Amino acid sequence: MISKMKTAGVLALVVGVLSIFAGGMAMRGWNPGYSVLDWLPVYNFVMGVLTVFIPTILLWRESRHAGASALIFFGVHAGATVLLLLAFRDVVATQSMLAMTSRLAVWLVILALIRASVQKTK
Amino acid sequence: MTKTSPKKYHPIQVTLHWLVVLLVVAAFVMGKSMSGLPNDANKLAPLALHMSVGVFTLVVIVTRFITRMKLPKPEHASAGNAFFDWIGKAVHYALYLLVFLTAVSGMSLSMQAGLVPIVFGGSGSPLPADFFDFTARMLHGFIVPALLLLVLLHVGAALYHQFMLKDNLLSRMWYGR
Repeated sequence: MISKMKTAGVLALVVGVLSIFAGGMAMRGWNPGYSVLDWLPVYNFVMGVLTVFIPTILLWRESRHAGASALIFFGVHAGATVLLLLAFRDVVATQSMLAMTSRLAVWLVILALIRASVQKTK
Repeated sequence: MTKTSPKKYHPIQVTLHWLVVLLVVAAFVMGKSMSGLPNDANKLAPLALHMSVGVFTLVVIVTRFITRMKLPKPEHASAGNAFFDWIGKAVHYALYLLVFLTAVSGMSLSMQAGLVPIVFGGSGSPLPADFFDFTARMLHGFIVPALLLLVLLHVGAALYHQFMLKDNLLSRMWYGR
């Protein structure tokens, strides 16, 4: 049976690939039907690539650094969401905020899976 | 059975290390010399070369990181101070990250500015008037000086080990027994 840590890795891979796809499409000029902040696709693309290469691999390998990397990525996304709320409240599209919140929710699930996995091994 | 750490890096690691050095220096020199040129047709060839070197660097740095995890490597060289040792380890990882990010931010710029069809596809469309109109160019411009700073720190630390601590650190990153 696939372990909780590996499940978290698969979730990180999915969220990373989606982020690369959404960011990449928007950077190539795709219009999602609402106004997108200039820097948001770049943020999504870069963070997506980093997600695929860092936490996904660490989680899949069940590395001792997996939890720390997941926490850092959650923190960065939480920081970006707060920044959007505080500094770009008037210009950011509701859909972008919804996407950021959904991603945060997935990262919370990833963190919960890591915690459950660590508790099980103790 | 206990495994002892080797005294030197594996020849594959040595090759990849110096290849990354060459590629980063080449990409940096090309990028710097290109930035002063007007964005016209004469910029296409150097831009194509810069982008190709960037993509190749990305492939090499990922390969280098994977081989680093797989191959045996020498113990971290101690500077005799726990804080400096920690900084040394952190700088190594940060170098990987920044080389990776430099290439990824370059790819982002290429996507935002639609450079691939212009530079490689011969679309005939003009280059953007100013690359700084794109967020990814700012990111590229922030990361490169940070990488340069880390490289200086890395080289400085290696020279400190070699000439002040006299532990012959540089020989670890070269071929031979």
